[in-house]
Amino acid sequence: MTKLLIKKHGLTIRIAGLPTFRTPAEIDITKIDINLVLSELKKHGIHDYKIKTEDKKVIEQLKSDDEHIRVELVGSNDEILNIIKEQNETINNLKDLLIKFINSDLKDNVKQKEKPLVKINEIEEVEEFIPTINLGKSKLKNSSTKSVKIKSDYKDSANNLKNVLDKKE
Amino acid sequence: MGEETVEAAVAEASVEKKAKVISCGLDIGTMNIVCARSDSEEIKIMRNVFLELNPDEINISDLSDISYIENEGHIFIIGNDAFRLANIFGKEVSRPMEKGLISSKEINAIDVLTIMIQSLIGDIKDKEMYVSYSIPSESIDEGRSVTYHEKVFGRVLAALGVNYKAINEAMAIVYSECSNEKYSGVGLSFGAGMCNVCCAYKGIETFKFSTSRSGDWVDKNSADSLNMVKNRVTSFKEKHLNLQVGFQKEENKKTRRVLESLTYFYETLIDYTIKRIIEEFNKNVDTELEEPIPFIISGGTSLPDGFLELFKNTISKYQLPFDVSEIRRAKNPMTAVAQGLLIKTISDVASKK
Repeated sequence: MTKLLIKKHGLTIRIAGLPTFRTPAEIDITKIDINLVLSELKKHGIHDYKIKTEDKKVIEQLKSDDEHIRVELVGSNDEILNIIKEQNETINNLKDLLIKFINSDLKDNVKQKEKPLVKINEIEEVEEFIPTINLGKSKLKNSSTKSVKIKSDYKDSANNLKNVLDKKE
Repeated sequence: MGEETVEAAVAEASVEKKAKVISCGLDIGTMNIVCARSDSEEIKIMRNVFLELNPDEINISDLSDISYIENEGHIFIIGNDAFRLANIFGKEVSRPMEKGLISSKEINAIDVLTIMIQSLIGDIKDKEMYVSYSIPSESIDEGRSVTYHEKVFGRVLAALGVNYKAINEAMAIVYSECSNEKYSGVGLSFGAGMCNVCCAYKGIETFKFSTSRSGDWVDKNSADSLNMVKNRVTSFKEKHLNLQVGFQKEENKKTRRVLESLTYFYETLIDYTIKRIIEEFNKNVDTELEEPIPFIISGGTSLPDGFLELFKNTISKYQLPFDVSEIRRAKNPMTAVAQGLLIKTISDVASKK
């Protein structure tokens, strides 16, 4: 038999397959899918409950300070020791793999492959001080500039200027 | 072939050979780019603005009489047409330059700017082209460097495949206007973004500086004090301002108000510039100038009638640290810088030979 225990007062709970009940309550939920019960409780915002199963496992939803849901499976000491043993083995396997990787040439290969990638990224991020001019695809159409005609003897003026500047030198 | 014909052909061939070296003066201003070439009497002027349009916004066939650049699916209307279309589309034109220097906001449109300059410089195929381009002096009232501006336009001209050299804008006025004074004088270029000043003695710069107060400063301050849009004030200035006649006789109240404001800011601008000239001369020149030197006034902001008289009146209130022979306007205030740059380029090219 599986039982749902809710200690909090004043809640009206509706779970499909069960009559509506008010809390605090201890309800037999053997015939109801446990996932349905959990989702209904979540939907109603109920975090403070216990579900007791026939094999004495307790699914307990604790109300934590930060409102995050935490489901704990509490079993026999042997089961807990087995889980720890399994996790320990996994960690050791990972450790061995890492040591192998560090001692192998594979590490250098990975680094060499990364280098050009970093360089390309760097080039993309650097902004040019003066943008490159690319006139390849630019086309001027109908150039119409205003113009004034001025008669001036630039050559004479330039000669005068050259003479003045040459004297200075 | 007769003797005369042979001679004519030889002369023509020699002219053709000579024509391969072309000198050019390129005045790059906030409002206008002006270009003078040694092989032409025509001086080309283009508004230094563009307008970017999406191809969905306009039909290419509607642009038959409009100057534009097509670049990777974008359309850039350039020059005066940009102003006209900006009004139609209710958009703001982009200005590659701000306060006399290249604007960092528009630097990514460097291709557009390059093509605008290319269209002004004209054909360079099979020609050895030498271009001097104008740069401002460091500003004494704003800490912006001229270096970036100079390098950007250097790169633009390099991309066009011409030989280039940067020359101070105000010094170019002295090259253009002071031949009779053996290139001694104070060149003043009242542009849109800056006022550039250069004092030269016998072709050598003695001191130079720029201020961030010029046409845009006048327009902005007038607009702020009248709670108007700056472009509107600029339009009033270009159409109605006459500093000689004054604003009192203007019958339209609104126009009179704008003109009065513009007059006050023009007076302040001139007064401020003269004070800075005196300060900078005292700071930078230790020796006394042997001869009186002229003041040459140029630039678009100096165009309103009465500007020269206002300048003369204002300067007469000050004791200058050097003697002034004359205060005169450049023969062509809009083109004087480009012409001066051209003269200097021809002189430099001749020195090379």
